[in-house]
Amino acid sequence: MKIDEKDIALLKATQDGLPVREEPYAAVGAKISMSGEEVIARLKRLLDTGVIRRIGASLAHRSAGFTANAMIAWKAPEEKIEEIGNAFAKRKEVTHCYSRETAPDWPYNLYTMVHGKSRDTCAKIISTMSRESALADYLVLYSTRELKKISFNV
Amino acid sequence: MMDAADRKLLNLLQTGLPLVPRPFMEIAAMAGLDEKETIARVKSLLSHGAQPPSAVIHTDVAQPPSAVIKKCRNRSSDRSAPQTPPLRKIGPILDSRALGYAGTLAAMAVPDNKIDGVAEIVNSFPGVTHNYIREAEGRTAPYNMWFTVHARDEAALREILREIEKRSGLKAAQFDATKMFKISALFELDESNED
Repeated sequence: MKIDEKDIALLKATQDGLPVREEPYAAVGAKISMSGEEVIARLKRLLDTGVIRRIGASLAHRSAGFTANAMIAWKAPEEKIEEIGNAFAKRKEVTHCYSRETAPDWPYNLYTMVHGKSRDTCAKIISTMSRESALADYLVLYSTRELKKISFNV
Repeated sequence: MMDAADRKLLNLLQTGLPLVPRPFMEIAAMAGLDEKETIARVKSLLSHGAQPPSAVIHTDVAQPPSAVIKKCRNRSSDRSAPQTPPLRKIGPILDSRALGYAGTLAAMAVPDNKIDGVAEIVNSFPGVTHNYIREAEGRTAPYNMWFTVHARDEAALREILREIEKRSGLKAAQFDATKMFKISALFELDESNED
């Protein structure tokens, strides 16, 4: 879709968070010479066209109680990736699911992120996923240190 | 300390802030609160550290929606789990691809004693949005540092990775996505009355 300079100005003005007050959109608009109505109309269009995924809360998932964070790298037969990827994506505990290119020392081609209250919770979900998909070759990579986490910004 | 109303607000706010002139009034109505209290609570969730609440994850589709597994509170052993506020921000979450950006997942094998130095190099690029040390459970993995990087285009992306390799003296493997099946970082919090 076409994004103009005003859209970019609006994204820059909002991507670090909207002000928490009675009229947040009007308050943002006041900073970039845009009416509250125009802010809402533009955000709606950017949302409808997929430039904005959602307008809402981003949680610090650790502080919110989801302390275990596993990235599972699966080795899936090429012809099954589509089906298995779609099945994994349906699970609520799976926040991200991508197929990716491989490397000579890295045969894993399907990735899922699973968040849970504990490693035990994650492990149970992962073994169910393995059983249901019939994928036995996978690596469970738990994060042990968060070195950086920011939102994508324009 | 979050209470049941806070958790309800966080669940509602994750789904989306309404695009109306007074969005917190709508959220308040859904949460059974008034606008003023809602705004005060949201401000506090943005600024205060909180104890980890009990989280609920709905289990398999085979079970009725009411069936939930409640896990006991589990203090994180993660070194990076300080008392940060549970709410990072409320705002638009952008789709980097829809905006025409290139992105990838990169991985490096970093010796333990070099992690801080290499992290400093990697994190210095604004396009690096996530960077984690990950350990493979029960196995050895060829990589331990995993980061996502975005750039204006593929050439700029490769340039960042080359620069990271040059400055760290280590190789960075690049695993480009071939298909996105899901991206939705929504975390459902337990709205019952316990802490």
